[in-house]
Amino acid sequence: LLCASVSCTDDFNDLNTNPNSASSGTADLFLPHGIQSAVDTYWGGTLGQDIGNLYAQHWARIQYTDIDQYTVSADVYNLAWQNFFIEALADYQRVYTISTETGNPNYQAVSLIMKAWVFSLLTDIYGDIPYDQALQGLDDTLLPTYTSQKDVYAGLIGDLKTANDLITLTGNSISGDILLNGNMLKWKKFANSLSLRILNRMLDKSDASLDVKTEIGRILSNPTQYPIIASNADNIQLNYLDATNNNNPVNQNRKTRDDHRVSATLVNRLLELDDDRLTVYANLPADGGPYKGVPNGLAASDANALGLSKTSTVGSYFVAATAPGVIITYAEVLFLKSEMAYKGITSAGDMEENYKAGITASFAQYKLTVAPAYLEANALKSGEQGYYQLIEQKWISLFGQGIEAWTEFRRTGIPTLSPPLLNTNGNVIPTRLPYPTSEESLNYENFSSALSNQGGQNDMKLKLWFAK
Amino acid sequence: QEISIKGKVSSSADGSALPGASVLLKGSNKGSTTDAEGLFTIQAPSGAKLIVSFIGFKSKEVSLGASTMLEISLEEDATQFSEIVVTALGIAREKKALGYSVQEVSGKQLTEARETNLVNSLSGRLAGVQVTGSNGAPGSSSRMVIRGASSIGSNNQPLFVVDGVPVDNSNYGSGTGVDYGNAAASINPDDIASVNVLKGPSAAALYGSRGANGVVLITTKTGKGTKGIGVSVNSNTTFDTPFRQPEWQNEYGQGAKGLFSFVDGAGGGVNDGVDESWGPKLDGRLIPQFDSPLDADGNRTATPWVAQPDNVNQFYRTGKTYSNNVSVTGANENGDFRLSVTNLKQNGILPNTDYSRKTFSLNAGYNLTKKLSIRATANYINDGSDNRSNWGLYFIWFGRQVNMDNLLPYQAPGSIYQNNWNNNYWTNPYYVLNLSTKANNRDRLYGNFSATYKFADWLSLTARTGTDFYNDRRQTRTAARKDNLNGNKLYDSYNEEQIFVRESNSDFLLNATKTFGEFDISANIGGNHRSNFAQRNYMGATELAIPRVWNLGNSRQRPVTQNSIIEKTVNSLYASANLGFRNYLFLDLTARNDWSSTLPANNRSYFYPSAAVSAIITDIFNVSSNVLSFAKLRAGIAQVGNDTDPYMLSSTYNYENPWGSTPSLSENNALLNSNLKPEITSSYEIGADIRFWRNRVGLDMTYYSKVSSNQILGVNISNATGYASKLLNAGKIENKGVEIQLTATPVKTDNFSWDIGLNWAKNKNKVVELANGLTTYQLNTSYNALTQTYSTSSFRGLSVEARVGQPFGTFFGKGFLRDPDNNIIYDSQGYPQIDPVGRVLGTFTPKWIGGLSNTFTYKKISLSTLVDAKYGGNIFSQSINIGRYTGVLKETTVGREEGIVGEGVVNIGTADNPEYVPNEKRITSEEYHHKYYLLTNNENTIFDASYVKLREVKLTYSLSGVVFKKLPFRDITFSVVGRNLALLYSNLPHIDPETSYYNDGNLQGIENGQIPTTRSVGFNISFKL
Repeated sequence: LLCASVSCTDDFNDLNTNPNSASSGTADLFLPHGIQSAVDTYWGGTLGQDIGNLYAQHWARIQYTDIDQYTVSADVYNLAWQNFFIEALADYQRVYTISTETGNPNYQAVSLIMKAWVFSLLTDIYGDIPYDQALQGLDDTLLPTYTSQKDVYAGLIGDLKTANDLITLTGNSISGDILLNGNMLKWKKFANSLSLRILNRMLDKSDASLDVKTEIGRILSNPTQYPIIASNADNIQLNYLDATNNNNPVNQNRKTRDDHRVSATLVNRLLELDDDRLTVYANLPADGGPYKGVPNGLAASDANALGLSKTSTVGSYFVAATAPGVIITYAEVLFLKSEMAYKGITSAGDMEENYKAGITASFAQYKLTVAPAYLEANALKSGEQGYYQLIEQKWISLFGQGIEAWTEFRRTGIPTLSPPLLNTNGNVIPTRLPYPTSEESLNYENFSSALSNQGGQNDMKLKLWFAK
Repeated sequence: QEISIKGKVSSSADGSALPGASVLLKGSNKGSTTDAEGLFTIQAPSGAKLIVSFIGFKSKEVSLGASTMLEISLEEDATQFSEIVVTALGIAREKKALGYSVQEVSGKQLTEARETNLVNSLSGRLAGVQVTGSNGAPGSSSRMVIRGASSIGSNNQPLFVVDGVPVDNSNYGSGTGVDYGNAAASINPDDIASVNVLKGPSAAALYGSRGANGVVLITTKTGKGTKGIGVSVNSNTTFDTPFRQPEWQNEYGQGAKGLFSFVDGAGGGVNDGVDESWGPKLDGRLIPQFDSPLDADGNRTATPWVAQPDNVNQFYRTGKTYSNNVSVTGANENGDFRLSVTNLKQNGILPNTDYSRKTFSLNAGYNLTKKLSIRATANYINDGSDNRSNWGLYFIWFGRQVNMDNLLPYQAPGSIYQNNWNNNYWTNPYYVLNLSTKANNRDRLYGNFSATYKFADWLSLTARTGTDFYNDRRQTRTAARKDNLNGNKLYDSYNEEQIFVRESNSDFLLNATKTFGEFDISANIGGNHRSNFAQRNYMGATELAIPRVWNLGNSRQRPVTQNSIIEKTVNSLYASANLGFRNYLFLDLTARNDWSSTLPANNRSYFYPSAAVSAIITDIFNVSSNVLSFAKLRAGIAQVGNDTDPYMLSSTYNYENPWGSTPSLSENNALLNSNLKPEITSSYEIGADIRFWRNRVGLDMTYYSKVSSNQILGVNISNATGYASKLLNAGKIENKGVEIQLTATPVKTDNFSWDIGLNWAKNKNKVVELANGLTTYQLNTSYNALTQTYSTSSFRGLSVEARVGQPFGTFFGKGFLRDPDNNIIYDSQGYPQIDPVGRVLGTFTPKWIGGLSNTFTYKKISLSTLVDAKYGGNIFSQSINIGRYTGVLKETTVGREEGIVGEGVVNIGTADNPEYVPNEKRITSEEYHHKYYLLTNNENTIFDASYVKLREVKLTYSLSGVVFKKLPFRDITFSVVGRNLALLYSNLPHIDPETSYYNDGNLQGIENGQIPTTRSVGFNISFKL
């Protein structure tokens, strides 16, 4: 007893060593959670389902319609930010650190590519974001400054090029890659296709931080060094499993909730176009009758009055446990090339060829064959009308990828969407999500200078750089 | 040579026995207290002197002669004032010698007006002590804070010590909707002799780290002073009803836009999936409802649409608590024992909820030799519940026409799934309470062995070892309410959790007490070894294959498993010296050094001292008079160090769900810190204890200031760092306050007396600084040491913070957009707008708290009342806000027919050049309430939480001595007691302002529609055989 009292502390270090969890780990162990948490947040949850899918008017709310009227609770924009930064990006950062130490460049590349994709989502959603100084908590950078969107985009293009160049197709095999199963060629295609998406956002901007056309040319004119997605088999998507915790987050949501329907905007347009993708995107109402969409932003009671069983639920394809969480597709790459061609990038090929191939690829993605009559009826018109058709087709093809569809709408204003009659955002379809309250509380000075740099308030009316 | 001395202390005025008088062996710290009949026993060397004292009487020094049975009569005299109190490490001291504030509650006060949770019984009785009960669920927990919160990030509750050995007061798992109670709640009031509360760090300097928040010292009853064998019986029965319920409206039923018709309760009819009350007027019109009979085609027939004003009320039942205690005591010259058995059974106000507790307690001591005595206490407690269900916000989303009786067949005919008024959002409450049960069963043992060896009259050594451990087994069932949803099958779920917690303390104390001329000196040297261990095993089946078979083997997939252990050791050495001069001037010095396993090697040893002086002015200057009977000034200064939870020095990775068979880890969201330093709380206090008019009026005042710095905080940081929090020695928080206790006896005659006790405390709390440029610490994030996880509770975007320059517990969130004249700005649709910039909306920290007790005694009847008050501070009420949003509260009947024009302005100018004119846009009441009480607007959720409550009324009839000649009953006491009787003052509508969804953490001031608190009325009988 006396010894115990008189500072017998020899065993204290052992005693205070955490016996419950690991203090070391290999890179492969951090990939599954890093990848899944990012895709879950982007595809499911309230960000993918409500912000993306509702504001792109792919889906509509039939219950709890507040968010469809643009009343967004702080939890929504807090959680998306939080999940991307501390669940996904922190894991990639760890993979990068470990692989730099152990010297496997393929892990480094994978972490750079995943980081680039998640950062691109963050800037598309919020605007300027901590980027240059982000993810440095271990180095005691606790109040990271914000980087402007145009500089974030430029940084991402650099990172993605670095990643492409780091990848070795032989040797350096990786595991834990639940996204692309260690196929490093596909990772290259992911990196370069994502670069094209980001470059396309910068294409009209005179103040871009790099030479956009040169960068596009770098990729499109050298497919051996910078391969891109070349078929639906190359689509970058997370194939969910039929098991609790590994299932598609929309499937998980539907286990307890039934709040969503397909938007009347989309259903009516697809009906007008006689577009077969409607049979995959939506289900017939349970009580029978033709496809029936729900208008966005109805009063809860009006939405409810339409009847849960009398309206079209989101297609079974999308609510299955194993439904893929799609990041970037062949169709999108073709639409990107079509738009680049329209804007005078010769290496992108022909606008109309790419447009038709894009529609065909979109149908094929769902094992549908596009009827020649459909392509004929939707033949590309010239000038701005054609551009409208192109972006509208892209909007249709992005069903499920709500965030991307919303971003493209904000960038182009196509298709013409109207905010719901009842809305709490001054008749403006949200242009962004507000920064989380945690940034306002915990990183106030950088938060406020980011807002003043962008010339607005922390609301959902501030136009982001890519949309200006 | 020691002999056993017995004696009886009585009043010289009428010869009546003086229970509770203190008997102290002069020149030592050894003492005894008289029992109900004024009897005491004490071991003393022959020729020694005893000092016998009692409040309001003149102390008497008695020399021990040949007699071993003393008759001591005390003279009533107000010029002397002396009491013995138990202080740190169980050392009995004369209260007048203390340089700090100590307050006592007797065991009798706790048993007659009884609360199941010991902590609740202390509410309103002690200056500067704030008790917050969580809700009315049986066995639920309570939070106690002394002199304000001083720790930003960790526990602010005092240390609980029973018979000198700390016991566990942890609460693992509350805030998840299930409250398993705080561990101190299970200490049995029947076994408590007294509770002493040491308020400041000076009082607690010798308890080390955990004493920084004050110490609750509990002394249990012993068999000392019993003649032969004594038997005491106490029986208590109380009835609980909801203390306060919202005022409902009864004019409009469920639905929206004035329309409703039920088909499937999930949107199949007209607004039948809506869980709000904006439906048709309750005028008896015929409408198909969930409980309407089906016609031949299976369609609901229309039935009268009428109000059910009592529907919520009839759902609650009267809770009943029965508590019975029998104790047997015995003593002779060499030893004593007390055996006690208590059975408590409580049924909650929610159907099928309960709590039960069985306590077996033994306290025995024996003098093995003249020099060596031993004592052992052991308490075995088995407590638990078949169902501790709680929930949030039920009836706040509701159809006011719902007849609860028709929900009683809670399963649909021919189905195991629910019958309900709404199948969209809600589960039938009877269904939940009967099928989704949250049960637990806990076995707990605490106690200690001690031995004291007297080397000489003036020198003794006590060694003591004690432990407190429990094993809590929890079983949680969740029954699926439907068979399937949208084509997806729904499954029941089930989990089992086992929590084992153990704290052991071993200590020794060497005491020397001597008198040198006019100096009395007592010195102590001691050491303590404390070890903590906790283990959690959890297994959960999220989907059960066969419905309603509650077994993990029935899981459809591999069950989720989690387990962890935590361990911690703290070693300490301490010393104290008490110097008395002429029995009127006293100096106390303490010093302690701790070595904690949780801190890094360089910083794990930390030292802290304290000093206190006490001066009896009236004795020093000999100034006592008929007006001024006694005056004491005291001052103390102290430091207390504090450590942290285990494993906070270096980060580890989290396990994540494997992807199929691919294992998965993730980066920890918390950045830990290998350079932590101990927290230090420095404080001083000054006080005065003054008595007037022969002790008829007493005034005790304390001013204190404490500053806690180097606080170990898991500070939330920008998520853009890749992390959610970083552990820092970051915070500095300041508490300054005043405590006043006033006692008075305005009337005192032979048959009648009136006693008044008033306590009042004001604490000013301020967060002085954080570190690294951080300005805010978010309290809605908490760390669970056992699961080693941080969890963030989110309430509609509200952040509860320790913000630099603001009091602890600031509410920060979104409010209305307002013009320069503070008018709410409406948009062109007639909707109030929300300011995108967040702001401070209030704080949960009150400005002052107080209590007033009055006791009237007429012969054998005594009536006492206790009123307590809290002034200032806010509460975030979801019930009020949502109840207005959903149209169930009384005030929402406004404008139902004609609509509402929101009071405020609209901007008809531009954003840069605004021009404000009054809003004239009329919108429907439903629209108005939906937009004004928009759930993302935090401003309209914050309310003033001030209150004055009639806490307790107690009527007691006591007959001392032998009552019936033939029957063996004696000392019969009968009381009728009411607790939480009335809300005398409150600015808050609908709910009890004194309620908290989170029971004992630092996140307070949140009301989330939990079970209402209860009012209880009952009776207590005690007698002896």
